Amino acid sequence: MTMKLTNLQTTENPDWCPGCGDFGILMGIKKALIALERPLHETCIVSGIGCSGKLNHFVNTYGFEGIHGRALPLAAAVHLANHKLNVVAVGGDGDGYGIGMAHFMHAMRRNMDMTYIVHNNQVYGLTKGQYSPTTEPGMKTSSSPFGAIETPVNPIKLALASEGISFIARGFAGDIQFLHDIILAGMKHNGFALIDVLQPCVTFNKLNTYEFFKSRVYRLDEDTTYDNTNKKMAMERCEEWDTRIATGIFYQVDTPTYEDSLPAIAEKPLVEHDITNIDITPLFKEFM
Amino acid sequence: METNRFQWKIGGEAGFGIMTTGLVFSRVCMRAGLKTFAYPEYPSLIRGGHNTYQVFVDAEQASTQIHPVHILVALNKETITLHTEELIDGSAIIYDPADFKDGLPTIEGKQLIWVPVPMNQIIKEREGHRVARNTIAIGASLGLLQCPWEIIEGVISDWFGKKKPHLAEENVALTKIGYDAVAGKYATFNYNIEARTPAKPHMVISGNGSIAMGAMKAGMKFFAAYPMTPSSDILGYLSRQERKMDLVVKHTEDEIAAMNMIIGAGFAGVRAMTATSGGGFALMGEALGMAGLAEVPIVVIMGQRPGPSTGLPTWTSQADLRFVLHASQGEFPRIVLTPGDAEECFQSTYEAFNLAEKYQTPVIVVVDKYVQESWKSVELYEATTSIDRGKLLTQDELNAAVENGAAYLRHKYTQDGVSPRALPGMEHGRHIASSYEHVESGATTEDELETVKQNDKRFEKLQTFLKTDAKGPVFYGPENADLTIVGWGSTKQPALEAVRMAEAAGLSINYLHFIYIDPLPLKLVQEALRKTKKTLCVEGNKLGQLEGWVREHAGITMSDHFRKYGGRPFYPEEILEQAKKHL
Ligand SMILES: Cc1ncc(C[n+]2csc(CCOP(=O)(O)OP(=O)(O)O)c2C)c(N)n1
Ligand code: SF4
Repeated sequence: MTMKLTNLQTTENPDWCPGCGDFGILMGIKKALIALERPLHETCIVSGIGCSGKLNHFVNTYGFEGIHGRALPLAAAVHLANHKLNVVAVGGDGDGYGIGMAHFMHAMRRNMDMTYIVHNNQVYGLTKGQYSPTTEPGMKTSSSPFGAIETPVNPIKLALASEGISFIARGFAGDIQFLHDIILAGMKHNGFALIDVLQPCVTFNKLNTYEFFKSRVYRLDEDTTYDNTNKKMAMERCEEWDTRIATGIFYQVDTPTYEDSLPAIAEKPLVEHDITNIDITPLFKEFM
Repeated sequence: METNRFQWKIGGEAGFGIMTTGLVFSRVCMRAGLKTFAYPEYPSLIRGGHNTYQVFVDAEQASTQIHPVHILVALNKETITLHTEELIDGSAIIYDPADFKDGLPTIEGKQLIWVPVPMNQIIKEREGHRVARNTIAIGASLGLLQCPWEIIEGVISDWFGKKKPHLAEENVALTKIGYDAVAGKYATFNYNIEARTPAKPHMVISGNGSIAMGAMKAGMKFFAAYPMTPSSDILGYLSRQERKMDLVVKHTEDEIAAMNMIIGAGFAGVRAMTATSGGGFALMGEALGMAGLAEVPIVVIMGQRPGPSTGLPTWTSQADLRFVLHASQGEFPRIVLTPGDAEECFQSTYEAFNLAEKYQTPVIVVVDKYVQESWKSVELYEATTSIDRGKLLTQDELNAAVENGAAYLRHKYTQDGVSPRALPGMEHGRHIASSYEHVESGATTEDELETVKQNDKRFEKLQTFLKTDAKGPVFYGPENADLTIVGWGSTKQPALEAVRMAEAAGLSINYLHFIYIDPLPLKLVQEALRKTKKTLCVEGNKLGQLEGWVREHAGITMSDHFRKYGGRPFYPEEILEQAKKHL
């Protein structure tokens, strides 16, 4: 039985602003889950707090809406506890590249098999439009009335500079078909998959709009010269912004995951271990 | 001759191998059938600074360190000058004259037995390492105590033999040299060991080791933590057991990650724990509340050291009780346990996992440096109850629950406040756990009535806990005593000895020990306190945190209190002295 979009419906309805890029990401995720052809109870979507963090309320899988910035450690442990699950973390750019930056850096080093989708709208949406770690310099927001001063984070570049992470991609919320392809590839990838999604916030970001992106984005997979195992090439492409912006898989390699080094879960997930009568007596000898 | 009751202390600079030496000494006494309690003191340094390790030995009960030191091993001069006050008439000092080139310190008014052992020279002759001085000192100490040689030899060869057999041989030889240098030569020394056969086998273990064992016995499979004294050893020990015991142990980027990870694991159905101290617990605060709201079972070991801020990192304190009781925004049910010694560390940690799953809420085990890093001889650990996973559904139960099309409701209203729990991966159990207030399904709500109902539901779990699992404070010592010492956590250790000392002095004093602090089992607490005549609340903080908590909830005021907050633990003698003032 093929799954339909209605199977993914929950009792809650998105309360995002009409036209918000989050709708595109939600659709991309739903379509990827359908294409993945796994029972819905085998997926768990973990989020942080933000407009983006509400996403898992609207997808009928298992979910955990955690606290602001902490989706990654929460998701990592869901995965370590039951690595048979398809674990997806979602959150905003403030969530992941601001308050949660430390977790992001370490999640990349670990290369656990999970997918991380960042709704990168270059502002703080839920708290009403302050500037974020990816806001363009000079942009005026409620917390930068004279223009943002800091140099923005380039998440793709940061990820490329980090050793460990094995899947680095960018999507655009206005190109759902391609976004769905990227998310599906990320879910299927064995390792940590970052998908930074250009997500227009129609309410608070008047600079990085659908039009801004539509006139710039192109698909890496349509460029036959592009080799997504070549980090140098990826580094060059991720620098583009003003005239054109690449979307697609920047980099993908097959490297060992964190859990490959954990004998405890080599045979079965941690959650399936029988704990009713654990023998600790062999531990005593060391102390006698 | 005073047989089988004495205290031994070794002191020197950090890096002298003092801790290992103390453990070996404890183990010899334990194998001689005696009870031991070992207490280390060290500054927050890796090298240098003054370190000590003291072992109190007693045939019947060793729950604490005591004041007098009967054998002092001085690896440097400072050890003597800093601990003169603890020496009594008849105490022996083992030292190497080569370390005291400018002469021995003069100690007036005490009859001391000076025991010179040329440790440095022996090492030099045998081309040994400087830390091997300690091995000679152990030999000399045990020679002085007339401990049977076979026991010593057994412990030393086991200790070193595991890793390097040639080291075992050399260390046995060195110990023997120390032993022979002293044995039979100090007839005025009045303390000795008479080996006994204990009824049951024992081991020497720390509070931290006991916590780790309790957790493993309870089926903890996931541990995440960031190192912080005094809880770092739990991370170290569990990491070493990771493969043998089929665990996943994660040293995280910070305590925020550690806390969020155990919540993720708990949500996914794995028993999970973290261990930290005040600073790390502060970082965990936000997520702690999420576990309470989302009803995720987790166990947190909170090891106190003196604050505020970095404070005195390697010393002890009981000043974080209120912090734990009130940590995180909003109100949510939590269960707080305060075990008082190594055995209780094992039992409380084990129990914490059952409670966490039965009530689907955080359980915090509050300990401190004193109980975590002291080593005690204990009977081999056994769980006294079986694993209870509460209302964790099996797939079959879940299937039955949703048979007639009923939706699974994660936060379903029930009589006891506890809702049946489905885990990610189970069919028909799909739901969202959330840090937002929610309705029964987990969906977000801002409705006033639902908010009140969900709050009440969560707190109903504590009423169920109080009716079924909570235990009242426990008396130690004589019934209807003239004075009751009241304490929580590690106060138990010196308090038990104070009660014993009081008995020997013909005084009627007992001890009332609190483990179940939050929710406070009111009836049981009132019942217990009604049986007291005068109470002296002894705790390691300035503001009287338990005293205030009991007054607030049970409406009972203690007769008096004795508080310490300088980083040092209580000694039984000072508790007794205070108690006498109030008799
Ligand atoms: C610890 C903490 N600090 C601050 C907040 C308030 N807060 C909620 S969402 C948010 C930022 C939202 O921005 P982003 O993560 O980019 O997500 P978006 O709403 O844009 O999707 C902030 C600061 C919070 N919930 N928790
Ligand atoms: S504020 Fe921005 S990000 Fe949030 S829902 Fe509205 S459009 Fe979307």
